[in-house]
Parts: sequence; C-alpha cells; structure tokens
Amino acid sequence: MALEGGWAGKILRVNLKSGEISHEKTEKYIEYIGGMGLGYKIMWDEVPAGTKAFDEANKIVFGVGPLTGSGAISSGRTNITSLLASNPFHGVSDSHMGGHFAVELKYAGYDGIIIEGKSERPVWLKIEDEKVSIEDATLYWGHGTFQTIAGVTAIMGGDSQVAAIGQAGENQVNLSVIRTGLSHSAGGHGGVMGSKNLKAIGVKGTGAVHINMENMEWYKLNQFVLSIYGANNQHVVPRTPQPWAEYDHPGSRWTAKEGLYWEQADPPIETGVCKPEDSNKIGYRTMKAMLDLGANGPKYTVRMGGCAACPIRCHSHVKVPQLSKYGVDPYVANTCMGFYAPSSIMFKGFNVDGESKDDATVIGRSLGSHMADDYGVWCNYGQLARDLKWAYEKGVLKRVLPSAEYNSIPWDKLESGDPSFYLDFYRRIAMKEGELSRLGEGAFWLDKRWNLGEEYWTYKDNKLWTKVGYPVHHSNESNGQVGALISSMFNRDAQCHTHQNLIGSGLPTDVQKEVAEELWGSKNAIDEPANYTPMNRGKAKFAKWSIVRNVLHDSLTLCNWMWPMTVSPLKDRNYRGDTSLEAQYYTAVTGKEMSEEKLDQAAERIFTLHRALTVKQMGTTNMREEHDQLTGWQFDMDPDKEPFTAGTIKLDREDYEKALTMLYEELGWDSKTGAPTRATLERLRLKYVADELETMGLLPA
Amino acid sequence: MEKENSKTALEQIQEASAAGFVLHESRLCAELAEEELALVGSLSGKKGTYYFDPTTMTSRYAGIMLRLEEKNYLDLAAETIRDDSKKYPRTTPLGVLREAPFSFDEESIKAILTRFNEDPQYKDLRKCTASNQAVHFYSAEHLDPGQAEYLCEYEEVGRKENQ
Repeated sequence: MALEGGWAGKILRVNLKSGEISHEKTEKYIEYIGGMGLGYKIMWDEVPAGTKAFDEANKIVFGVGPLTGSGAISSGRTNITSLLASNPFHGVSDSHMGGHFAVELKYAGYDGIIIEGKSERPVWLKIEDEKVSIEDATLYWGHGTFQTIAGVTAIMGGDSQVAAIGQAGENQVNLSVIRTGLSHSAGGHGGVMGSKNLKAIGVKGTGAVHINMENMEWYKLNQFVLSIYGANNQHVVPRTPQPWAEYDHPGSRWTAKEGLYWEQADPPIETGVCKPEDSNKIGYRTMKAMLDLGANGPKYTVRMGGCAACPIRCHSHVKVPQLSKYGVDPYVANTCMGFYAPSSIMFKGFNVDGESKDDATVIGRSLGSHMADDYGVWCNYGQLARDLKWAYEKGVLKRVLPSAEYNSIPWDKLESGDPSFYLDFYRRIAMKEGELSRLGEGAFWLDKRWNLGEEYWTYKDNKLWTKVGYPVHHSNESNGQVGALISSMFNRDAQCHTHQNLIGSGLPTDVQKEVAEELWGSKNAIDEPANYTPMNRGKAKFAKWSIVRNVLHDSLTLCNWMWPMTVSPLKDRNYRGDTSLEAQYYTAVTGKEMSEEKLDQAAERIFTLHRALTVKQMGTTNMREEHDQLTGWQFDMDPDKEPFTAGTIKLDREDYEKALTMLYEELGWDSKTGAPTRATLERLRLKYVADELETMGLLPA
Repeated sequence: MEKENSKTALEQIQEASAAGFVLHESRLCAELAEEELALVGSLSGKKGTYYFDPTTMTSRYAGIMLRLEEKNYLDLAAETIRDDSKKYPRTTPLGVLREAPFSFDEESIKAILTRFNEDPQYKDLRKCTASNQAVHFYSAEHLDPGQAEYLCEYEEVGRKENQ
C-alpha cells in the first residue's frame, strides 16, 4: 500500500553497537498510526519480556505520526517509547516532548527513529535528510543539556533541532529527561539514552509533509479548528468577566485582558482582550508566567513560546537578571511542572536578600527550572520534591545518609529559602553523588532501599497513586472515578488531559453534563466537583473515551493538552466543539477516508497493545490486583466524611472495584482480571498478540 | 462634534457596548424606534433602564456594568457570589473583586464585608479560607460548606499541584 500523504514513508533504525544504519517501511505500521502506536508495536515485536530499561536489549523509539509536520493545529509532539526504569517491573511507557524536533524529523523524511544496541563510546546521532551518521560525543559527555544542544546546533546549523540528555541521563538516573529546544522535556527515558551512550540526536530536514487535500479546503479546515480553539488546555472562557463572555472562571488559562503585559518585551506588549473570533490573537490568550511564576511573572516575561504548528503559546520565556548571581543565564523558559516541581523542592519557600517575596518566587522557580533542565533531572510529576520533603521531615535522611554526607548538604539554605540550594541538590541527583541521590530512583525503588514503610504510601499528601510508584495526575480530583480509572491504567503517571480539559474548561457543570449526554449517553458521566455520585456506565464510557483519545493524539501526533475539541468558546455553537476533527485531519492529510469511530478503534488497538505489553512484562494476567490497585489514602482520606457526600473526593473501595469492572467491560477486557481477552485482541486485529500471550499462559481463562 | 451629534441612539448604544459600558436611558440622543429596540438589550436598575448591544456584550456583563454604573457594589458582590455558587458551582475569590471589571478599592471591600456580616439579607454568604490564607466567599443556599471549603482550597492550592 503506497503512502501518499502524512507519513514520510520510512523509519530510521540505528544500531549503536554495530553502527548499522537502516530504514524500515512505515506501511507495515500504519494500523498503529504512528507515535505511541509505532512505539508499542516495535516494543512488542522486538524487546523480549523481562528486559530491563537499561539493558542493551531495550530499545527506544522516537515516534511521530501522519499529522506531525502537516500544519494541522498543535501537531508538534514527539512521542518517545521505551521501558521505564523507575517502574518496578520496567514496564513500557511513553514520554513526550513538544518543540520543533518532531516536525524536523518529518522534514528529514522519517516517521520515527528506532535506537538499539549500545555504543562503546559516547556518541550523538546526526540526521540530515538521507545522510545519517553516528558522531563522537566525547566533547559533550559530562555536560548539561544547554551546552550540548548549543554545541550540536553549532555544527548542524540554526535550522536544525536537537534532543539531548544531561548528566542525569548519562548516569542512568531513573528520573531523567530528554530535552529539546529551550524548554521542552520528555520525562522518564533520559537514562535509556545514557545506557546506550547516546548523548544527543540532531536532525535537519529539507523535505515536506504532503497533504492530500485541496489548498482551499485545507485552509478552511484549519480556519474552522482555529475558530473553536480556546486557550491553553482548551479552556474556553476568560479568567475574568469580559464583555464578550457569558461565562468566566478564575481557574481558566485564558488570561488575556486589558492591562496585562509581557513587560520585558521591548517595547512591552499588552495581551489585551482576545475574543474568540480574533484567531490571529490566540497566541496572546494564555500568559502562563502569571500562573507559573506568581504575581510578578508578567514583570519578567519577554514573550510566550511553544511548539511547531501551535497557536497556543504556553511556555513562558522570562528574563531574570538576578540569576547571574547564581552563575546561570538570565533567560529561562518553561511551563507548568517545569517551574512548579522544582519550586516544591524548596518546600520552605523562597527568601532572597533584597528581593520581595514575589520577586524571590520568580528567581527561585526560574533557577530551579534551569538547574533541573540542564542536568536533565525529571520531577516524576512532582514526586521527587514530595519524596525529599517526606524523607527530610520524617528523619529518614538522618537515618539513611552517612553523617558526613548529611552534614555536607546545605540544609540551612533549604531552611532559609536560599535558591542556591538547587545547585547542590540537582548536582547530587544527576551525578549520583551519595545516598541522597537515591531520590532519583523513583518512589518504588526508594521505598525498597530506605524502607519507608506503609505510611509513606498511604499518606494523602504524598499523592502516590498506586504501588507502581507514580503520583496523581488528574486523578480522583478530576471527576472522581473517571480520573481515578485513567490514572490506574498506565505504567507511570497518566499523561491524559482529555477529561481534565473538559472538567477544567470553565464551563458550568450543567453545560458539561449536556456534552456528556451527547458523547457518552448520560449526563451522569459528569458530577459537580467534589460532590461525586457512585460509579455508573456513563463514567466508564467517559474514562475509556478519554484514554482512547489521549492515545490517539500521541499517535497522530496532536497535543493532548489541547485536543480533543470537546467544547469551544462559541456561544452560537452552544459551546460545543467537534470531536470528529481528528478523523477529518487524518483523511485530509493521508488521503485515506477515516471515520471518527474507526480512528477511535485504531487508538483502542494501541491502548490494548499497551495493556498486553504490561501483562507480558509483568508475567501475570491479574492486572486488577497486581497493577490497578490504589495505595489506600483515596479511600481513607477525610475520615469525617463519607464517599459520595459533598466536600470530598474520597473514593469507596467497593465502588472502585465496580468502576474497574465497568471500564474493563467497555474495553472488552476480562472483567475479573483486567487482561485483554482473545476475542478483543482478535477484534482489534491483534491475533498475533493473543497467540503469543497464549503460549506464555497469559490469556485470561 | 458634528459627527457626535449625527449619531443615532442605536449607534450610541453600540459604541458604548464596544467600549465595555452600558448606556443609561437619559443619555440617549433620541428615543429608540421599535425596530431599534429589537436590536438592543436592556436591563432595569435602581435608577432606570440601561441599554447594551447584545452582539458585543453579554447580558451577564451588562448586569455587572449596570451595578458599577449605579455604584451598587454591595448587590454586585452578593449577586456575583451567589451566581458563582449556583451556576458553576464554585467559590468566589475575594481577590476577583479587586480586579477589573469590579476594581473595588479596599474601603469598598471593607464596607461590603461589614454588610455581609451584619445584614440578615446576606446571611447566606459565607467566608472560607484556603491554606495559603486566600479568602473566598460562597452562598450556603447553593453550595454545601464542605464542598465550598474543598473548592476554595483546590482553586488556591490544588490547581497548581495538578497541572
């Protein structure tokens, strides 16, 4: 089958041991779309069960999809698939990064890169269209991501894109990232690159992505998408009351208003009021610095940045001159947890001589962001900070660290709020210096080594979701059982925003309920926040749809921080979005007719393959008991309140089991164990998976 | 000046709404014709009728501007809190009232809070405080106190931890 649009048509395979560089045809993978689907298929076919993340037999797949680089709105994501070292059984997982790496890979003519084997010496991979070479990285090894990316860019040119690891990745720290551009990090797989002695990948392409649609039709499609676009996270109402808006919400990321400036721009730029119809001003809608850096964020903001083909600029680019005192560049860029998670390391707050509290917050968060990014340390969605706090305040560190090491750590800086604590802390983590650096192994391994006890897992504020060792990520605070189910299905924190974007859209619950009835057949799929009702079928359908669309986006690739277009800011559409747009884009770009239902089924195939990979890696079908169980605080929190009463997000044990059963049923998995059945695997054209699982005794009875 | 004088009442309303204001009936240069009335929105306040252009301003925003025009800050604050509690539902951060379009000064806020405490017609309005000391208000007629406490804490603290 010829691929006429969307896909580049080939996948690059690089064996770092033999030095062999070859190509695969993309055709055989298109049932898996691309990105995440491509990664899972390759992991199933090529990485044996029982392989560990840093074993030479593990592979790492950089996957992009048919929409990447096409100009489809918000299609600049790279999906990275490999085994995850912080996971107890080294389960398959994904990390993702935005920026411009993904589209450049497409322009170079590739739908993905499969990295296998291990180099004997530090190398980086140079991709210039067809010309691919393995280069010596001795010069960069031991250096941070900023220097490495700058060095490779200097060689390849300013129109190249580079993804690199820092010292954390080199040293195979479990919690390490792969970073590209100024501010785009994929958390979790930096150590896999390090284990292969691969420091960086540079890519430059001169090709194009072909689109199978007439120019004007393509233009109209994109204009329609822009017409229903909201702000970051598809928040569709402004943060403050504005003349054009029927609704508003103080939690909305639609921050644009009169008097709000990028104050460090020259001259300062006022975001002003950005009405839905002003599609050329979408880039001003979200000023993330005022959310991520506090009240004084705007004072330091030069501009907002973001990813290829995305009008939403959700990364804050700030100039903080005070950072030169700490020996780092005053220009810092990041977003969300990139600022917030390092901030939580300084859990006693910030205090900088001669600076106001608000300025100290900007200085501290920017410095933390820079240090974590440069060393390439991953926050594990904020868990690293919570683990430090727990171990420090509970006296664990005094117990497990040699006294000389404990006394060498500048705790006085942590106590006083001096951000220079970061320089010491992140170095120790990234360089694996001493016992403290075990924090970089992740929650499961940390408990195993330091014997943190059951309270560590069941303490609500530690936010640990399952014993797999990852934290909440839009979990039970996000529509109760729906967020809870989604959070339990992956091998790391769920990176699903489908449900959260709707819940957090800013629209009243009653409007959301109407949408729920149209999409999942029941208004009861959505509850008022913190006023939950028992599990029902609508919630199971909502949870499944959320996961399926998340997987779809990471395969196409589209940004799940914006997609799907479940709702819109338009009153004349009754705030409805259009959930068929992914299929419309797919058809337009690839030239292959695709319906919404068929595309969702392809994504279901990918997610079921993820589940099968987990079954195979864990060596058990008993996903319900071995994988999907919660740590306990979710049922025991708020002891004075009962589940399903106003004011609590507490879950009920029996109800959660019912929720699992309903979701398994929706997915066609065995309702007892939560493992995929042969019938479902065959329905999803995964017979070969069923056959292999059967030979391993891993098909449910 | 000549151009100003040549405006119709409809154009006056449209211009005011485009600038973010409602227009009191007394400021119209002429009575609205029947066909013009069909094109505008109107709201009744304590001091008469106010007009707005529904193509550029929602009735919700017009209601806010009407209260501000009449300097009826107390009712505006109470209605906003009750509306938030009933419609979304959510608590209302006190800080919202300091920002545009409300832009209440500290003296006005103090006076409002005093009336909330003392006047029985506002007895449904309750205060809750998040762990970062931010103050929110809600209407107990529409929102359970426990739910209000959760929503207040989530908005101030939880939302940042769950990005």
